[in-house]
Amino acid sequence: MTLQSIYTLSVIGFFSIWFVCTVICQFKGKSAIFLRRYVDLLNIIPLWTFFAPQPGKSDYHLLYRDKNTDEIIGEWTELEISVERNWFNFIWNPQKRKKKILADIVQSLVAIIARYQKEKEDARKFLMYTLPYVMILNTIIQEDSKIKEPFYRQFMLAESSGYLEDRAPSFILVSKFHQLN
Amino acid sequence: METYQLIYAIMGMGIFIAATEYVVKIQIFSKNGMLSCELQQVNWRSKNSRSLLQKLSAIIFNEQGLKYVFIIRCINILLLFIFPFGTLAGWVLLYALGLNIYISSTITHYGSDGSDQMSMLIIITLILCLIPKGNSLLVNAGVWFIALQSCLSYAAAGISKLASAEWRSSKAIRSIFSTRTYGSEQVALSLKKYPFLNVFLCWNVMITETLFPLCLILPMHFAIIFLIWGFTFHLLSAIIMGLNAFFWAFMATYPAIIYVNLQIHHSIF
Repeated sequence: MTLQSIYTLSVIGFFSIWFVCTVICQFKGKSAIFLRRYVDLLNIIPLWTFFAPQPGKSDYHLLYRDKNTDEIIGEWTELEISVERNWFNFIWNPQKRKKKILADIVQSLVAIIARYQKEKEDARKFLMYTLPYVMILNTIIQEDSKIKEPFYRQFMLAESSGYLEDRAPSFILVSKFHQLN
Repeated sequence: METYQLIYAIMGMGIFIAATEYVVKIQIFSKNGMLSCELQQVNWRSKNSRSLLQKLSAIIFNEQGLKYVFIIRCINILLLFIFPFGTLAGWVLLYALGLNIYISSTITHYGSDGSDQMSMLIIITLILCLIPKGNSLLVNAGVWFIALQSCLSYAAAGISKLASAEWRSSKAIRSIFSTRTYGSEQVALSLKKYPFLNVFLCWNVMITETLFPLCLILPMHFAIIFLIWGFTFHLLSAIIMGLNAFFWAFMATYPAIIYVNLQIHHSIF
């Protein structure tokens, strides 16, 4: 057997394993969890279940407000993330990443909150140490303030139903006030 | 080899556009950006602070470093239109492109989507199968893998939608198109005005996606119906939902699907 034959068979074997792993990982099961955690070290097993089983039916909003040492609290300010698209965005759409990042962060936070509620009593106090939470905090911490001498900042994640307003907006998470540098 | 050239040409357009989008929005990787590299390192930093990965990450994983990564990616993509596949130069450029994409993907999974997954899959396949002096079995294996993964992606998407009560109730598309993130006001109002459109669109997507793998084995004049559907589906997704990258990533798999279909029918008949 030549080196080329060995290589060819190895590649075919690799493709076969990759394909089977992809099939398994489309389902939620222990095998899929095992594969993703211990086998897919390079993160190359794709997930093809787009917009399903839960379709993305909410717009997410990130807001913040400040408080100073005199306990004066400013109004909520929204970060511009869900901006309207332009006509050329079907070709070039640089702002889609921010929306996707925020949506992914929200989904991560929601999953973490649900897990903490099951695992520990009052475990949500640990939420502020999770990466998604810190990512949000890091993003809003340098934004301009609407009040004089702000000392603390709080953020809120909210969701709305978009153009048809089928549901009233609701909040997903309101953080504690964090001290600004 | 022409199939691979076509696959690459279509995919290359998508990766090029995505890279330029990142360059324009590079501040998301800045210290206070949503994907701040300093923060993302919490997830993957090794305990050995003197490792090569640590040193590399200090150079690359910051706003300026990643800007160069994306610019180099654009140059790499253009060079691959000049250097032919199957040559050493072509393979080295492919490998460099794959490495470039992989490096940026290791920072975080936040913000990535199915188009990134499909592009990564195609690149890895090209790297493994287009080695210099490769053989036809290897080349065929790669095309088959891309075609099968593409069909699996549609089938998995369709089956997961069929399993969803929201999709079966024909509310899903109206819900998605109502959002500012993935929809448009005009389309949302039209779907509210004409409810039968919701039913048609939801079931059309669910059934056609689930049956999509049939395009590998049906006679070409039937298989082409699936491919035209796919083209229309991804084009409308780009126009209405802004998912421009999906169009290129999934269209890139269609030459592989056509190749496999013709090969199957040639073998049978």
